[in-house]
Amino acid sequence: MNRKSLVLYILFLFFFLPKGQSQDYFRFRSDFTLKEISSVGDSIERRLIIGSCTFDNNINKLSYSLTFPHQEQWVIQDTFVYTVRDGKLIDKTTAPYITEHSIFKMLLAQNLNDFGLIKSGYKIESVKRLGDEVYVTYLPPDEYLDALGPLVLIKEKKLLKGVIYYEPDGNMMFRQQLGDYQIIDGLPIPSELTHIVEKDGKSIKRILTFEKVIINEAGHDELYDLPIPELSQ
Amino acid sequence: MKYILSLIFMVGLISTTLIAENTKSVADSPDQISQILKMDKSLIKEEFSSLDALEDRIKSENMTYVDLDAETVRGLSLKADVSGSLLAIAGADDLPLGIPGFWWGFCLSWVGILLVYLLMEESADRKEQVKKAVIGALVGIGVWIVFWILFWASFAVV
Repeated sequence: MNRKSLVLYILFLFFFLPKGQSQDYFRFRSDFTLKEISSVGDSIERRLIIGSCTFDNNINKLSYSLTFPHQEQWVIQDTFVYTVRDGKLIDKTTAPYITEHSIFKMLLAQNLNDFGLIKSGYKIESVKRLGDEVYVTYLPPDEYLDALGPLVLIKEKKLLKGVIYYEPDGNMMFRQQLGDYQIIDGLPIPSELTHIVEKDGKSIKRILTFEKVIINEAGHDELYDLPIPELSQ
Repeated sequence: MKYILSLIFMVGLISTTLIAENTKSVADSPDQISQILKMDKSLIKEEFSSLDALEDRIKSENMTYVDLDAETVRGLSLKADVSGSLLAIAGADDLPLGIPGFWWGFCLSWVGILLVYLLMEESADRKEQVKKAVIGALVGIGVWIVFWILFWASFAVV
């Protein structure tokens, strides 16, 4: 390699590599299935939801197009949930904001080493290894130690394999496993997420699967910013 | 004097120990966590087998909830309300009545701030929403003052 080629190569790395590493992931589209079993004592409820979803982080808008249980669309944006059936708005209710805890935001933040935990004031308490897995325990900010417990992230080959959240009293309240990763547009996306919440005798178990995932799709803006019809009387 | 100093020292030592205890992690060891997650995997596979079978059937026959027979719905305790599940995976937090803290403060001033504080569970989000309620209250007061200044100014001009 002559000197000119070497200089050009270094310039190429200098200009393009940092951009490649800090690629902004902002759009997510996928077919999905959500299976849920919730129980309180002996009472059990099951739910099955099938459809597709789109999420655009720039406009913070999440849309579900369901085929089961009913053919309808659910759009969540700002503080509203819109339910659209047969092209008509059948319900509009207030809803909480889509937070950083959203699975869709989390998936798009997979390129961040700590999923923004450090930015939220969490600090690393310990890093332990078990086989190929690395267990990183985070403690919440000091002012929330009475209200929030530690959080453990499990990583294997830099991929997030599990999230465990404890209550301050040591009760393992939430655990999530992520598996069957596929790399899409440079972003690792788990095909299956298993999620268990256990608190005060209640339990919710969910399996969320993604198929046909598209990341940072250019065009098809109408899918990410679904128009909301006027509420029919 | 010596007795008082010793007492202060002891109290300091005890409180430092208590703070240290409070910050000590309650997380399990990697071995314990790994065991629990392995157990989850096998239990979940078994528990969800009926929903897996239903999913296959629905996808192959392109069905909706109304196409299912009553026996299947009853046997599985299958529910069609999806709001809670869809909001849960959206990571939507529970705000009081779904109204952001800013508007509570803006409309109800200190009462709104108090309501946000009392209606939300202790969490990092509560602190954030209370902060927004305070900002909302200040903006609300500002708007109110400007309104009255303009109102009285209009009389002065007339």
